[in-house]
This record gives sequence, structure tokens and C-alpha cells, in this order.
Amino acid sequence: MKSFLTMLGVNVANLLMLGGVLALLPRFRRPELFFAVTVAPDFPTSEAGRTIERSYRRRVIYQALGWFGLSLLMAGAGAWVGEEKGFGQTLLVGSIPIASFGQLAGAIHAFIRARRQVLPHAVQPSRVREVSMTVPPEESVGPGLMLLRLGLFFIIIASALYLWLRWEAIPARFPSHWGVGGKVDGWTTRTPLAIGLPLLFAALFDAFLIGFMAIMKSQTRHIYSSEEALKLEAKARRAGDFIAMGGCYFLTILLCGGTVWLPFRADPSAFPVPFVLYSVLGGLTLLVFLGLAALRISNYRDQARKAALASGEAVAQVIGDRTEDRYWKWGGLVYSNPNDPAVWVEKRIGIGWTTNMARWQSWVWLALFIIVLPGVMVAVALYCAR
Amino acid sequence: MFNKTWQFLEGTAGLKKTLNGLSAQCILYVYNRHWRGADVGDVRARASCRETKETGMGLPTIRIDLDSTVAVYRQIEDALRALIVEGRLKPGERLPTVRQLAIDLVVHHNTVAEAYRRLAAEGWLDLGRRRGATVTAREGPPPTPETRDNFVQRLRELVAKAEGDGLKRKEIATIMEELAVKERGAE
Repeated sequence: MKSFLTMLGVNVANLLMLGGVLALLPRFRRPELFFAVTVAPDFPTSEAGRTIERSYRRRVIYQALGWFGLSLLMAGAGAWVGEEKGFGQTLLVGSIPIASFGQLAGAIHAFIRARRQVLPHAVQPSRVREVSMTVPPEESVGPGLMLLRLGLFFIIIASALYLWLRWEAIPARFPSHWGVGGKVDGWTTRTPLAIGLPLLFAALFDAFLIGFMAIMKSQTRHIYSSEEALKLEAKARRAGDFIAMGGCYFLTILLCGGTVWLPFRADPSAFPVPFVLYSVLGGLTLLVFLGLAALRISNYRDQARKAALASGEAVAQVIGDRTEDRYWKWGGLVYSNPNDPAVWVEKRIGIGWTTNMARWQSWVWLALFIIVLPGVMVAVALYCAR
Repeated sequence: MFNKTWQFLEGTAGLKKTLNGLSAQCILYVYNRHWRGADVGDVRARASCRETKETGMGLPTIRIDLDSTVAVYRQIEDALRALIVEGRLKPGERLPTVRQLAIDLVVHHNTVAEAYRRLAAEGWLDLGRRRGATVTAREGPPPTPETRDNFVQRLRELVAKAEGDGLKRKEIATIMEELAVKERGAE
């Protein structure tokens, strides 16, 4: 029963977080993009636009509830079989990814359907392009962001230093993983690699994400050219930086906190309730933060377009993201344009970037994401399980 | 007909003033649009400096039209040259990198690189390997008699084309006078 209730809590949180973000997805778009299609600026707020958005949201909610029901059935069956049995454990733990991937797949399906409904209303983006010849102001990193970045590595170094100073106090072997029912099912031995690995992983993750964000910033396309619009676009990019920082802090505190706290508890075998609470509540907060930041970014872009229009920017008719719809394939999720020199472009759903598959560099990045990063994670997981 | 038009225009006080006061902007306008084969009416590809409420003068921008008959590299080149000549881009000012400009305009790197190379060959830009393109302080060469003759010849053709497109002779003269006065004011 305890394991079922745990899974119920996790799945409810999952439903609220992921379902909420997916239902809000059409609100994260650029002003002239609607379900990855270039449209007239007033189309999304027209009756036809609203109907399509409502229908998308309805589908997302119904499918999310369906997957939630299925995951509960799985968790219930797992609890009934018994978590101590392998199959029961698989059913219990498997209910989370089933609900997550199910919701995601359902949202993609709803998105593609909505896109088909929007396509007849598509308009050709302007073929006149205007750019500012001054070097954009957002290239420099502000002191706030720099401090936040340094703060991450300060936490990691401070954790490492603390562990080094109290090395002898760390038990030779201590519990480091608990099953769904709260029983210990993983141990860590006191070796520099086993203790330091989470810190190393946090440092690598942070460095990768900071580097990635810097690359994205330097490769981002400037859509507008007037001073005010450029400033607003820069603000939107900075908001993106803060989203990434939120993710880095969540993971760094999780990994460093766990490494520093777990070995020194009075009862090392006790279920680490604060740690699990932090993971769930922190993850929830992070997703809420992501949703709010994405709305803010969308708002900045909307303001940028208005500023561009107010300044008399001729290209600010229908400009979208300066890419044409015909190069967006597979429901507007995959971009492939041989005439575009950009390797990374903004996703049309409004959050994140995607690669231009017509450029060879995209395949290198793809290999990095599909092979190298998961490879490192699998290696770490295997090492920890050993 | 050309001769008649020219004689008429030459006789007007406005054109005399204009010819005397023709400055870099006017010369460039004719040079870019007509000497090199672009249409008279094609003024979509151009440099623009919009005024803003805050600063009084907007950022120096260039505009290209992918549907124009003029090659994109030439549109970039012409627009950039105009910005430099007008003083909107000052010597020493750093320009966006070839890669960034290509990404922003969604054109091939080589298109932007070609425009930068041609401007560098004319002495408007310095293409440093590390620091990217910077605007140079360029002293224009003293005009030769040949330059003036060529210009007058092209101007004659331009006037004829404009007239053919429906502009009145007086109107043409007024426009040219206004251009020259504006340029003198800027100086």
C-alpha cells in the first residue's frame, strides 16, 4: 500500500507538471507562429484559432488523464503482486515513464492534428529581411548571470572540500539507493571515485549546459532590427539562460546535497524523506518555473514585434522566425533547410532549439546527444550499481 | 530624346545646383542602382536608419529583398557602403561576423563574405582574421575627368528611364536638388 501511495503521489505530480506544460504549449510560441505554422498575427486570437487551440488542449488533457489512469492501474497491479518480486517492482517503477512518455506522445499527436488544421491559414513570411549592423548588445554576460554560474561551481567545490575534510568519518559502506517501498537496494563504498562521481557528474552537466547556452546565444538568429526590439529579444534570451540556471541548480543541489548528507546520517538506512521531497517538490517547482519563464519569453517576443512595428521596421509584417514552413517537416518538429547557414534554430513550439538537419554539423550534435551523453550516464549508472 | 531631356534639365537652376552639390550619397545611389544594372524602381534593397523616440536616430540597418533582381551580395554591399558613406557606421566600428550576418539574413556564408570582400577591396572595410570586419577611415580618391563624364552619362540614362517611368522632368530636378541639399546639410 505504501509503495502504491508513493507512486500515486509521483504520478499526480507528473500529471500536473507535464500535463500543465503540454496544455500551455501553444502559449509559448512566437507571435506569428501557431502550431509551427506561420500565420497572420491576429489568427491565433480569431475564432478559428481559438477553436483549434481549445481542441488541442482538450485532447492533451483527455490523453493525460487516460495515461494517468493506466499508470495507476500498473502501480496498483505492482503493489498487488508485491514490490519485493521483480515483476511487481517493474510494474510499480514502470508506471512513471509510461505516464510521462504516454502524455508526451499524446501531446505530439494532438499538436500534429492541430497543425494540420492551421495549415490552410498559413501565410508566406516576408522575403524582405532587415538586420542591424551593430554588434548585438546581449553578447556580454551580465554580472548576475556570471555570479550564478560561479555559484554552481562554488557549491561543487565546497562539497568536495567538506567530504575531503571529513573523509575518515564516511562509513566504509553506506546505503545510497532505496526501492519504491523504502527498502535499501543500493550501497556505496568509500572510494574517491564512488564518492566523487556525483560531484563530477554535476560539474560536467553544469559546464555542458553553460557552454551549450553560450553556443546557442552566439548562433541565435536576430529576428528584428530596431533597437528596442533587439533589447527585448535579448531579454528573452537572458530569460532562457535563467531557465538553464534553474535546471543546473536543481541538479547540483540534488547531487551535492545527497553526497554530503547521506553518509553522515545517524541512521544511514532510514528512507531519506527530505531528499525525496526535495527531488519531487524541486522538480515540480522547476517545471512551474520553466512554464512561467516560457510565458515570459513569449511575452518579450510579442513586445519585440510590437516595438519593431512601432519603429517602422518594414519587415515586421509577417516574419515569423525567418524560416519557411516548407522546411519544417514531421509535424513542424524537424527542420531541414539546405539554404540556411544556421546549425541551431529556435524550435517552433517556443521552448528550446533544434538542429537544421540539412547541415552536417547537426549530425555531430545528434551523435553527441544520442551516443555520448547517454553513454556517460549509462556508464555512471553501471558503476554505481556495481 | 536623351539629348533633349538633358538639355532641358541642364537649363534648370535646380539641376545646376544639384550637379554642383552632388555628394557621395547621390553618386552612390546612381552607381549602385544603374551603373551596375539594377532597375530604377528597385529601392527595396537599401540601407535604412530609422529614427526612434529615445535616441532620435535608430540603429544602422541593412535590408535585402530575396525577390529582387539584384544579387543578394550586391544588395548587402550597396547597403553597407551607403551606411559608411553616410557616416552611420564610423571608422573603427566592428561589424557582425560573416557567420552571424548570414544566419540573421538566412543566406549562405559566401554571399556575405563576398560582399565584405568587395567592400574591403574598395577600402571601406578591414577584414581582420581574428577581430572580424571593421570599418576603415577611407579617403576617397580625387575625381578624374573620366569619373565625371561617366557619371553624367549614367545620370542622363537614369533621367531618361525615370521619365519613361512617368516622372516629370521638374519633379526629377526637384528630387535631385533635395538630395543634394540634404547631403550638404549632413556635411
